[in-house]
Amino acid sequence: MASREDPAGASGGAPMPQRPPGRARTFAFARPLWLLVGAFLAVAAALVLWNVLRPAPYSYLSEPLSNPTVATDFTLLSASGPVHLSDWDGKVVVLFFGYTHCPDVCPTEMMQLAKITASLPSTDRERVAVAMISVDPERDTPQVMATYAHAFSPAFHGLTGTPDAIAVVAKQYYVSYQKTDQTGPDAYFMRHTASVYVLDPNRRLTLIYGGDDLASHPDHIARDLRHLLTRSS
Amino acid sequence: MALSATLAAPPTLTLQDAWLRWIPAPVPNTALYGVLVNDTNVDVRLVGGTTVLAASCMPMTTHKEDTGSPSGPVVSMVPVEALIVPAHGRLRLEPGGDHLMVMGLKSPLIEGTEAELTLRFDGAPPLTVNVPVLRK
Repeated sequence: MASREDPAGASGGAPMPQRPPGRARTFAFARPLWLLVGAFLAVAAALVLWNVLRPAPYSYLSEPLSNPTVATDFTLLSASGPVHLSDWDGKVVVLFFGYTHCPDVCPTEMMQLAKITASLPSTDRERVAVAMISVDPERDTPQVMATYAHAFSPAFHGLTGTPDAIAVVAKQYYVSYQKTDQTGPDAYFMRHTASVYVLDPNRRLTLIYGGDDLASHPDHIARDLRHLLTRSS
Repeated sequence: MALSATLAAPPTLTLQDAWLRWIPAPVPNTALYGVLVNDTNVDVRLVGGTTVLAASCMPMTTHKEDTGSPSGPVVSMVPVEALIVPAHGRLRLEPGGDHLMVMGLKSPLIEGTEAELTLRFDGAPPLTVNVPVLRK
């Protein structure tokens, strides 16, 4: 490894007083140079090590919304009284808009949300609030919503409200809904956005999942929820 | 023996891996899922069904429509006149897709019990099935 310029003689060699002045100058020049090379190598090695060892940036299932803003607070009705979105500040909030007469899509998604939250460690599960908001407030009373939501998980929240209150909240999440195939005053279906909205513990809308994601990537979604919790703590 | 029995059996329409989704009372609607297998030479149309459990059964399909909204697709369940089981083919009834809606449940469904339903077709005789009530 020793090179021709290696000033080994300089570092160990003859006693200083015997050296000619020229040699002393070389010695004075060489030491800072080698210190510099050593420092450079040390920094390079540290950078390589950092790149190898640092955790990769977390990759969410769906691209997080850029510049998330704090969601507007709302007040809706549960069977045990009014519920405010801000009641869940400090938790990850999962919102789903649906209706209890829905025979297919809504129970499918609620069932998946129940599986996903059940897969979380209990300390994380307690910090995730899942709420289904009715887009059919005419038929979905607070009691019906509670029965429905609790059937999937006792911890789930079923929320409804006046048609006006629902409309205001739905608009904030760009949720559209309308009656279809009405055959009687009480006989109709709803056409509705069936995505799932995730707010971080600071109430910022961060992730939106399509309904199909719940069935196809439940484990990734569970990791996303946990990551939102750890990110904030 | 088994082979001759198979050969002797007339072409059939069967429902496989079927289940009725458990839903909490008082929710009135649920759905029947499974795979209809048509071993006959003609297309068969599922047009409805009957069960003592509910007022009516209706073939439905779930549409997903991308409206370009940042919030994702809009879904709707649409009643259809019939769902087609092609000759020597199959029709999947599955969550988020085609299904037989069971409307107007008369009493609460009990998870783990069996439910009897009779499916009605154009092109095949009615098919009576016993399916488990599952919470999934």
